[in-house]
Amino acid sequence: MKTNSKSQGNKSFTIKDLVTKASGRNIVLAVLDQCRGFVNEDTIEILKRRITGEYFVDEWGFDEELAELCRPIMSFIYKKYWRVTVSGIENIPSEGRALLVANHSGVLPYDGAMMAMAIQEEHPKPRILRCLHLSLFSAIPIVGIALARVGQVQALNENGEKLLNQDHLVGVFPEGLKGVGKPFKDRYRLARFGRGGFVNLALKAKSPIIPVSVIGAEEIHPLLYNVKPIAKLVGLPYVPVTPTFPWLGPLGLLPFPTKWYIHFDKPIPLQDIKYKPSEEPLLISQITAQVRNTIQNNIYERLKQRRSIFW
Amino acid sequence: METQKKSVLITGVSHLWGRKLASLLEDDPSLDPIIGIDFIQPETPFKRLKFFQVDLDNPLISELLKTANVDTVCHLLFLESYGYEEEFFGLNVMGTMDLLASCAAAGNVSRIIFLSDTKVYGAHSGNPNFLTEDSELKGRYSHRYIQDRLEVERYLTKFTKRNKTPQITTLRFANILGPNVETPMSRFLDSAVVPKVWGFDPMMQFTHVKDALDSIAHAIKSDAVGPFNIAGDNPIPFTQVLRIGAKVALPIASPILKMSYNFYRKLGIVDSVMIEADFLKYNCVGDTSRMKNVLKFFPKYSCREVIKDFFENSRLNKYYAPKGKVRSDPQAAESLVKWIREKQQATEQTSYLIDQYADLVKNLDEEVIHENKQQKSGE
Repeated sequence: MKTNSKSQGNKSFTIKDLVTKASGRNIVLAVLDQCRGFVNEDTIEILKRRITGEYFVDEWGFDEELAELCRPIMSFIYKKYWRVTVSGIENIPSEGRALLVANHSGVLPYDGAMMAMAIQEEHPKPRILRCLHLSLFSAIPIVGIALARVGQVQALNENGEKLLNQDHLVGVFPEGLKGVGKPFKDRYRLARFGRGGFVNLALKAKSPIIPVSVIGAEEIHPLLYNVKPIAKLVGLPYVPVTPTFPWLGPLGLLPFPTKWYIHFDKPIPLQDIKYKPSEEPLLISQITAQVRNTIQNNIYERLKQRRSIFW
Repeated sequence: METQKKSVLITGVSHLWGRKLASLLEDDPSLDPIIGIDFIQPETPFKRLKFFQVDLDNPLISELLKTANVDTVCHLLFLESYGYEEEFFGLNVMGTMDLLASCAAAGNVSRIIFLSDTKVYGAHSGNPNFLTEDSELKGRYSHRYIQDRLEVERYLTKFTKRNKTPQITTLRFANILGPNVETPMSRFLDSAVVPKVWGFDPMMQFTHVKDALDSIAHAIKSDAVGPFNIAGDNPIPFTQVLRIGAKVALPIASPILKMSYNFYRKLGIVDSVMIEADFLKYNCVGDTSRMKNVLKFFPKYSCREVIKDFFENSRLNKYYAPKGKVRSDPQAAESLVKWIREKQQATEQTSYLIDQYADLVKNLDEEVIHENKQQKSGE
């Protein structure tokens, strides 16, 4: 057998060893030990565990500890910056699967994170919401890791089905890119709901659908113009021009502090529904329309009462 | 459990995997006879296994299968290579085809077990987090140990479409790691500085050597047919693997990594220590629910435990004393143990010493293989 026969035993001291011994890792660990007394003991322990790999990442790539560390920042954005008002939280089941279907907006997709926060903060039994994100994000460096570590999963049928079968809460945005990259003049007008893939998913996994309407996210980055040629050149889905971006540079990426409302509607039970295979396509298109109308009506209902976008 | 005896033929028993599997199966009385073939002689004799030295393309194999009334064939003979070598291709791909033809011609073989790799799915950005067995096989890579597996798998699907018997069971292993076994992954993780792709951190899946061998033995005894992903539970991120192993991660942008890798490989510097860059970038994780539900095999090691065990052993490796050249193999004394036991049983004597020695030899097993390997590479 042809093997690369690198001798494993009795290595003499090599440059490689020196690199490992003097690596940043060991220095950082030593410094951390010296910091005891000045810094909170727990923080040191957490940092040491992060460095030595003694933490748990679940099979979908969600890192609970890391999410917990980010919690204060997210909490600030949720409570102080966008002052999210939540209604209908009792419609989220305490256990078992459910498919949350929401409208998508805001150029940068903060709405998924805020939905997840709403369930974390308001629900009597906080649960993790696994949002399905666009496939193309996984191929972008850093972004792909960040999304996975906070509990988001690539939007593929296989993933959605497996998540629901594991009794997770799954969030989907059937509008997809057409929703986030919607021009400002079309705000709060729902785009086409994909091809009804989400209904198919719910029917297959026998999961209820919970329509979710998010208000306030449309105005955080008002998209005035989409520079399509540049987007094509860079390989991004869209390059937005907003009142602040790109004029203020990176500062323009700061979203407007609008007032948000999130409403979770009553679940549409699909688990006991009986149908012939030949009726499936019709059923799917009907339920798609039903979900879309529910969300659209809830949005209009809220917009009627809203006097200002900021409070 | 069925009481019916099975007769098994194993290929590649003179190589590491076949050797390990043979010693595992020889303790099982329900498998009888066990026949082993390979193109070279084994280093040490077998306890119960009947060994023949033949090539895979030898037409006599079909006669052998018929005469011994073999019902299960386990094909382990596979030579790993990174670059293309005509001889290896001839053995891995053409040899497999010849063996399949012999099995089909013999008529009495009901099932063949093949080993494969989850890398045949390929690592792509569009992969679902868990690849089921019916996913498309897209692992086109320059590394021949993946490419050859892929070609064999393609041939197997063609074969199953045309023929009803023999039925085919394919075990697709995730990265195999374990003490004293060299795999592409173990070679990759062996160096102090390990390259990673900047900005990417895929989930990785591992199989422990013991689990891998147990699953083959399990597959031989069960009647499950079709492909199965074999891997530990709970895949872990690549950076966590490096952190557990106290390796220095060297982040490199992916185009540069691919380019420099090709460059260095042409110079012949890093030939074998790299694994394909795509596997450091995107998920290639197999769904193991079919393994649990259909094959009913449950691995003992989770991915994290595999990694821990591997690094613990590779740390310990540095401290083993090299084996003296004038010492015999402790395993070789097994025949002596057996002989003395038989004599003692005849006269109804028992000895504490002999039991203790047998235990000692069993525990030494892993260590011995390690030392043997070390000696070989030292020469």
